[in-house]
Amino acid sequence: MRWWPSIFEWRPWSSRQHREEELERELRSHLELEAEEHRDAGLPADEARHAARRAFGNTTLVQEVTREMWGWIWVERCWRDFRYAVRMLRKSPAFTAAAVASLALGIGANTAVFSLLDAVLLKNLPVRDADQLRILTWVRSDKVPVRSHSGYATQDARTGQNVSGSFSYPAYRALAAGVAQFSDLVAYAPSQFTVTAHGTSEYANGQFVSGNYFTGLGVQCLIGRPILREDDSIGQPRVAILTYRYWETRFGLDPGVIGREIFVNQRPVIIAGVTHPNFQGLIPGTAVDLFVPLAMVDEMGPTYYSKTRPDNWWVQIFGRLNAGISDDEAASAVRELLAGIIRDYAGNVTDSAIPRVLLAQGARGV
Amino acid sequence: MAKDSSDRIELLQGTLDMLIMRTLLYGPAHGHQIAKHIQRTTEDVLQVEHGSLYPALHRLERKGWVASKWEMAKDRNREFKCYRLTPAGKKQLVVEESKWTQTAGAIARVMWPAEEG
Repeated sequence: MRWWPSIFEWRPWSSRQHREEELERELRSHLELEAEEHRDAGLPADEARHAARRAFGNTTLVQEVTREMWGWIWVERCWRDFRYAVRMLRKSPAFTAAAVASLALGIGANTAVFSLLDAVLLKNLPVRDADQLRILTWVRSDKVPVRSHSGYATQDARTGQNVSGSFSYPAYRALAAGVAQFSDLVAYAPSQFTVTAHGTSEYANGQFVSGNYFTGLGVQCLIGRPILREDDSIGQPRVAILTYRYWETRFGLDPGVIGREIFVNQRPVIIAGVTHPNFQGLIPGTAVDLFVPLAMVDEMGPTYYSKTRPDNWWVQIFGRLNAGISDDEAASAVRELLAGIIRDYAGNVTDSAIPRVLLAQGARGV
Repeated sequence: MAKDSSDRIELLQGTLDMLIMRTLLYGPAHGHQIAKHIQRTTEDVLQVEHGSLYPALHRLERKGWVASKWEMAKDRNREFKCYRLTPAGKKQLVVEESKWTQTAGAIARVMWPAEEG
């Protein structure tokens, strides 16, 4: 039959205004039909219309009742659902408590995770020209003659290969001196310290950093001065830089800490400066408390942080790539120098013992 | 035409929906046809008030038991909003019918206990 060509033309419950218009149209068509019937029965047009109106009743009232039904159903449904929900929740308080707790935890955890992700993934490091920064890594292989290596062991973002981010201290010195593709190669190594100040000792997260760490990254101090190149050699007065967070929690933002003596792993150290609140080191999401020069690693670092053993790899390196230098070019320069260093201590090893060097984007930190 | 008001019977609550759906089982119809059909079939005993017919139709549509569509009548140069029973409406009709049968049966057993077998 031609009556219902397509089921899809059947209108679903439509918008309110549309419904109003439709209802009026519907009632009018009904009324006209009614009048027509009366006319067919022999009544004059005028009377027929009146008869129809009489038979039909009050159209406004019909509209009103219908409209009421629309509103009523909607409100009633919501109210019924709501009451049902409340009743069910009240019936099982344990479930309700669990649900509320999960929601609270879920929302809280999401906020926390987002704040972390924002810092770790989305924001650039608060350093000068962060886009120039590269993280030096090498593709892990059993053939590389390394006694121990520490630092992050992750997958390279581009190639998916397992990489390590640590090098020996002699290698770092050689690279810093001999790879012209980078304007600065800065080094750091994390360590746990015992910090003694105003009579109490507490653990603190520290980092040994190279003398060019702050200047190379372009990180200023909020008060005092950063670690400088001359601090990073044996025999110099021992200095430490506090992060803002540590300055706040441990020293109550006391500006008088500059020049004060504290003890780090039982060695007297002078506080030289405090960093800006936004700088937390190169590993976003981890809270560093203080920085000390790499030169102090012999006195207060773990024994495998050796400055002389070429097969203990523990120094992590960030490089600032010079303008116009490609990553591949810089990486092969690093590898070439590394090959010489490895062959120096491991003998004339094959090429497979020299790890492939990869540069990762360092703008957002490790 | 219409019977005297004294002969008319008020519809029991909820039965109008069932009657409308039953009427639509014959095929799609517009409001006027539905009202006329019920009146004719009951020999004017049940007079469907427009004031209840249209709210009922819209309520049924809202519940998804009937669907509507504007149609041009063949013989008349006019549009009508036609209603048809949806598959869900057909199921609902069975439910309401069995409920009604139960109710009617229960009432009958109270009213005419002797007739019970």
